[in-house]
Amino acid sequence: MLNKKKNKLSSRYIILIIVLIIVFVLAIFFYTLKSDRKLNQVESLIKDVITGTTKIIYIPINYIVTTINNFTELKNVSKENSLLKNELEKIEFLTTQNIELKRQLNNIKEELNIEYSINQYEYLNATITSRNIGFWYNTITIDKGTYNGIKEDMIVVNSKGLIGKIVSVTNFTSTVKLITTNDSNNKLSVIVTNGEYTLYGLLYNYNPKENVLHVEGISNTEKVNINDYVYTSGMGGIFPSGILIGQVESINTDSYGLAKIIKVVPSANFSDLNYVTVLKRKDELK
Amino acid sequence: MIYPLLICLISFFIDGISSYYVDLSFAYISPFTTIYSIIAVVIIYQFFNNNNKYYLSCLIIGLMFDIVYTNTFILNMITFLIIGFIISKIFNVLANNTVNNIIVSCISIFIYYLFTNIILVLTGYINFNIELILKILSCSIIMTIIYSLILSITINYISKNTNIKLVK
Repeated sequence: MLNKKKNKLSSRYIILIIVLIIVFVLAIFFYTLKSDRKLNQVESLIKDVITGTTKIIYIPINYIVTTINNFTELKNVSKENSLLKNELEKIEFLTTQNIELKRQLNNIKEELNIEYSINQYEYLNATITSRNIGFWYNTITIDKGTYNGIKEDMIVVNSKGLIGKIVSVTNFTSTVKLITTNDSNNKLSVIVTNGEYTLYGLLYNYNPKENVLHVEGISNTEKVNINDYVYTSGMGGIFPSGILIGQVESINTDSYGLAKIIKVVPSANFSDLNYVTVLKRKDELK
Repeated sequence: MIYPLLICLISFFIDGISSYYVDLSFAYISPFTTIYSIIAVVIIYQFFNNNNKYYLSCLIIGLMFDIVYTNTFILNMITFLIIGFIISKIFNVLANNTVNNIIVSCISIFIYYLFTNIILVLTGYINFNIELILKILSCSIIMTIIYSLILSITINYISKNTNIKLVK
């Protein structure tokens, strides 16, 4: 009788200990999955060594793949060449316009005595060394780190638009969290515009099935059109303003009928990322 | 000890290199997706006489996976340990041959994706999406079978021609 009571008690204690261990482990997971967790020196060293070794192994493989791709793309060279010539003429016009706009901006800054604006940044190109291993984490690793002046929260773009932001840095590598994440800590202030009007909203979600980002916070009384452009607004102090995110694909109303929910097709192709650019803001260089 | 070490190292680097060529975003999942390190954990079980050393190896591989490929700290370490534990229990019942290696590899990959998804959903990192889970599981079957087949055949060939010492 006493033995049975003892067995019941010990099994209860075991269950209690197991539950406590599970709670403790979950608490550790909560902590380690925080976006602002900094890597310690050992983690940084291991990551740098293995990423560096992967890059060396990757060189001959990339050479073979690039050679094969070059041969397969030869047949399209002539057509692409004529398309690129047309684009080049447009770029020359845009460059001239850009120079004039910069001149006007500098004049305005002088008159208003502004030392710098949130839009001033330097570009640092980087190569992606690994992409989204483990699938759920929605991150990429690039081959630039603190040695190149990279810091956390710096913005990463490519020629087509916004990619994400740096969440952790080692000496020679950085981890970038993509904007196609459903992490509730990664909401982003955006503007929706077609040149005539500017509306402020919040990018809060990504739908993998439709490959669209969701923007909320725009009043139902405001007019938004399909194919309007969505840019970063610059609010919040992390993302500079004016970086293209995508275009409006469809417009719906929320369940209360008070605000619009806009579906935005990302301009960057997240399934084909090879090279990115990190924006280093001038105020971060100080 | 050299063979399990080589298998783990090669698989670990293949994880990094293949991610560059295999499209893997939430919008598009390649049908040639898998976690090579998990398959390595399945295959190296046959080299261990001592389960504790095997678990320790799983722990180390998981920790390296955490540090290098993800932004988490011990999530993959614990996942790999759980998978190693399950593998040791399964191989107590099943014989260690090519077909069983393939089956256990598939089971391990499924457990990895499901377990990490559950933890990340519980911590609010991602939203629960059953379609995405089923899609990633179905897309990971082909490469899991191919890679575990390659490793099993290679190990069988080597064991026939050389005397492999088990880890005690």
